[in-house]
Amino acid sequence: MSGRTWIMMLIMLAVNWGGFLIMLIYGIRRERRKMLSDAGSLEEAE
Amino acid sequence: MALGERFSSRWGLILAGLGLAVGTGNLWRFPRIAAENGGAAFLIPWILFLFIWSLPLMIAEFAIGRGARRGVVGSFATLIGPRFAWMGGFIAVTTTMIMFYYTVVTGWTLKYFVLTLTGGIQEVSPGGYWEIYSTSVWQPIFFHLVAVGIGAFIIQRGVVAGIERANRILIPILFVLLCVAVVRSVTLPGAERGLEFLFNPDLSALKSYKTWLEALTQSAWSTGAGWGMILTYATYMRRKDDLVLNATTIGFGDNSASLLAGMAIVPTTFALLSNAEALEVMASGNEGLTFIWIPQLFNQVPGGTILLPLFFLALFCAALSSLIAMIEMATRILMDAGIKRRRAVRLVASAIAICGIPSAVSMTIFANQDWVWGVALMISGLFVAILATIYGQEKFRNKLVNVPGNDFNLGKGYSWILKYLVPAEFMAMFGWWMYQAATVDGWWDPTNALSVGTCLLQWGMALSVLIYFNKQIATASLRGEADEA
Repeated sequence: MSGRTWIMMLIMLAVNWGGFLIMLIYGIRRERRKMLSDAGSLEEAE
Repeated sequence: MALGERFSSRWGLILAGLGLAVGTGNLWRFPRIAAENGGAAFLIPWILFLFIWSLPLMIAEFAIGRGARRGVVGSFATLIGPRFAWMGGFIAVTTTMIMFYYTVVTGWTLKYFVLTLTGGIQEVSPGGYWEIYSTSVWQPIFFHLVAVGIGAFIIQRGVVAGIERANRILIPILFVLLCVAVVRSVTLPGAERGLEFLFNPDLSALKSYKTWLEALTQSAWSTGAGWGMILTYATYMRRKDDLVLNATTIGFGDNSASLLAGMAIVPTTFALLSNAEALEVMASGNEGLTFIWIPQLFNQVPGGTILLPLFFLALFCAALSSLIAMIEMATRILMDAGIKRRRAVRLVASAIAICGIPSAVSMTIFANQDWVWGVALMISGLFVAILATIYGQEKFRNKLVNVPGNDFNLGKGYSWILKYLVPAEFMAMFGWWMYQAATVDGWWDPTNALSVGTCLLQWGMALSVLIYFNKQIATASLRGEADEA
């Protein structure tokens, strides 16, 4: 495979898969943080 | 099942969103369209249109559903007034008509999965088998009914126990199977010719407007933007759920699944055939590629007896996860009219079972419906953008898109895209389609299955009925119990 093909393949995979996985992981971590902060405020309220 | 049901987690919502977006279009259309339009050169506009057509509309659908907490018809009536309910009605009709033949496709994938599992496909010529199967009566009807039954069973169980649980199983299986297929495909001797074709950009293809328009339609149809299904799922979002990041994650996830499918199919085809033959296979249409060529090609691959059932299982998972979103879209509209979920699902399932039969027994009717309602999705997408314009672009952005649960908020550029860019893209895409379609002899003839005339007739009939009965449709769509915000 030519260098150009390798570069294009890596760019495509990085943009799509990279974007997908980064956003997925970021979103799940944010969700966990939100849940923890919700639990904390509930405890404080009690 | 209460109307106030919600997805249990962000992960559940994203999986459901991926389920509706990743369908047969990713597996059988993307590799074909990419190969026919310059391979790697096609990927550039395809990614661009994710940002300027699909994602803006997906975000808008999320915002509409979450804001109105009603199905596609009720959302239009709630947000911009009952006199615009017909617009939501048109989106609902379009997706419902697609659903009627999509169950037939889901049935085909199930049939072929069973056939490959039992080894039946290895014993016959796939081309001959497809000819016999697609022209027979009872088998396509039987598998169509089985697909309706499975979809209805899932939807009857509700949002968490049905939609969310099904997608928690289907989507990981789909991605794992695609990864297995990619590994097998790219390790075949000669697979690099396929990768070369898929990823070495021939930039001259970018000078062709066809490449750009095929990229736009592929992105629009694959992500589910403008179908009303995202809108329906968004009614079950929790108040604290993010909207912008979730929509973007689903959009990128859908593109990722398409890339995997491309890397599974294109290198296999090029490894086994000459370049000219491979391109001929890619041009053989969705059904030709999937049900005739893939069984032939995968049978020649070492380990193909395992790979083939896995491919059709992946295809079935993709089809089913999209089908349940379509069934939920229709079910939710009936629930908005005050009908309980169980009864609504039975009504929808009965309608699909009956109305899908013509497409199951006649490939001409199937092709006609795919042609008419596939193109109508462009109009559906435009209606979503029009809702935001009538509602007020800035008000739409500030009140419905930039909600407190967001991880990211959108700036004024988003309003500009919805107000100007999406309608401009629609005009270009629709105009191109009309121009192309009107150069064919008999383009005006409504009895011709693939003519402009049949589209105009069927859309006209749908719009006339919807506009004539708009008042009753709007009243019915708001009759049911109001969901809390």
